[in-house]
Amino acid sequence: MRVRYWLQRCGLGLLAVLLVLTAYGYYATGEQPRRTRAVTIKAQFTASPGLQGKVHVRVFQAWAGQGVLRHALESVAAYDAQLGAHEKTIDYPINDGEGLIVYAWVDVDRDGVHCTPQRREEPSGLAQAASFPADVVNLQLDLAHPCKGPEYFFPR
Amino acid sequence: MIKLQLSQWWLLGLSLTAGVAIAEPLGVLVDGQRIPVVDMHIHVGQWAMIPPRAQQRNLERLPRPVRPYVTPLFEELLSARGIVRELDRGDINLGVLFASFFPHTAGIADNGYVAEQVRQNPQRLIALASLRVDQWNRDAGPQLAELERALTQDGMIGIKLAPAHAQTRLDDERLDAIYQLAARLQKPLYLHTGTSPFPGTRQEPPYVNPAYLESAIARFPGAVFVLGHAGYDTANHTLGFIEDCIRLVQTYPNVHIEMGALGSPRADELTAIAIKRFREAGILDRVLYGSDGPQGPGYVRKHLQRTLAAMTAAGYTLAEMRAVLSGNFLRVFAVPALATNRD
Repeated sequence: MRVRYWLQRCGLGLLAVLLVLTAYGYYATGEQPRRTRAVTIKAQFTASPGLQGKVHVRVFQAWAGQGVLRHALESVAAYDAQLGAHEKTIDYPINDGEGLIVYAWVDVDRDGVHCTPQRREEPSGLAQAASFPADVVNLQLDLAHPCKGPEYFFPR
Repeated sequence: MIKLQLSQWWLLGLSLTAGVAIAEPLGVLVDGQRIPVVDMHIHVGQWAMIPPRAQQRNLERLPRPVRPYVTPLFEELLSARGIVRELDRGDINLGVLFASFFPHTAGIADNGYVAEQVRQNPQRLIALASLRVDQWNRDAGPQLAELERALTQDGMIGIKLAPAHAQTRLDDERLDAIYQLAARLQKPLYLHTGTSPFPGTRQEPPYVNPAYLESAIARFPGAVFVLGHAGYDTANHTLGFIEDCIRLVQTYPNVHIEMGALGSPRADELTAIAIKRFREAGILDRVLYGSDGPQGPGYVRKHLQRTLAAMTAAGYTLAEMRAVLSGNFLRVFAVPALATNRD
């Protein structure tokens, strides 16, 4: 009788502990909501005369992360554009990270891949917003370096 | 005379059984022959050294009630003790730990931390050192110096790179200095190829297709290149760039393949296809076994079992199995001998 009494009490206690742990598990580890601000990028993409092709654009935070995990070039948006004047509004995350960088390359052979091991003529370039945060940034990108990723240009 | 009660007999029986298990030599038994196994692709790490979004990805793979307790669970699994326990479960003789510097994606396990894990069980663990390349324009010199220093430590037998995680193109000639160092020190280079499911990893061909590495392979014949994952497209579960890897092995004597994650349950039927393809291509003297573990309890063992089953189905001889599971690794990385017992 006494054993049964204690088993019941311990069982209920254990159940209560499990319920608390489960509830904690559900509510304590949710993902932080992503907060953003609208930023308009006004850019001028230039390349060698006669060069044609879609421009693949990628926007980065210049720096993100904390402590030893701090790193350059955190990708925040990617889209396509054309050579010449260009304007695009993106959602810039404001939870973490700073600065704004635009990188672009010209898809000369229209295959969606920035150079192949054999074809090495698709030029790229990168520019950093001089002043940021800002609602509007103006940038000039001279796409002149074949087959280089953003990491080639930044940080210097 | 000592009299044992029933409970004590139980304990004695349990101890003897455990003793038999401990005394069982390492290596897998195939047709009555014991084949030593080296798993050359094992990750270590600490929870705090993983970026928040990768932590979130790991959390989402756990049942919710367990999530608040992930730090001790994770760190136990990815410690020297936890990894040796996983190696034991698979009867694997040696595990090769990777240092890694991927602040964008999977996080950081620096050379010092990895060397410390090796020191805890140098009979069963060995390691590849690494370096940060994501700020190469600024700190190439100090990074190379630190890598060279790390490679002089006991148990550091090669170099690990993962350009897709480090946001660096495979055809980036700025990294030539690393290949030069590898050739000079005669330390093989392991390079991740193929995609990765980690958020933030570059997935475009210049970062993941080993064909973009061909120029470096040709320019540095004195460096030994091991193409990790055999180009496996882990993000989309296709064979990815496996044919590019095979072509490079067939073309250049300084190229090898490692098959990490290709034996995972998620690879499904790709395991058998890849294992068969390696044999058809005649490159079994250049394929090295690795699992990309520990991932979760039991994964390392399952990866090996699936690989063995695929090898048997593809008609591998015992000599071919031995070469892939350990022989090629010992030759390429100049490791003289393996532990045969669990302690």
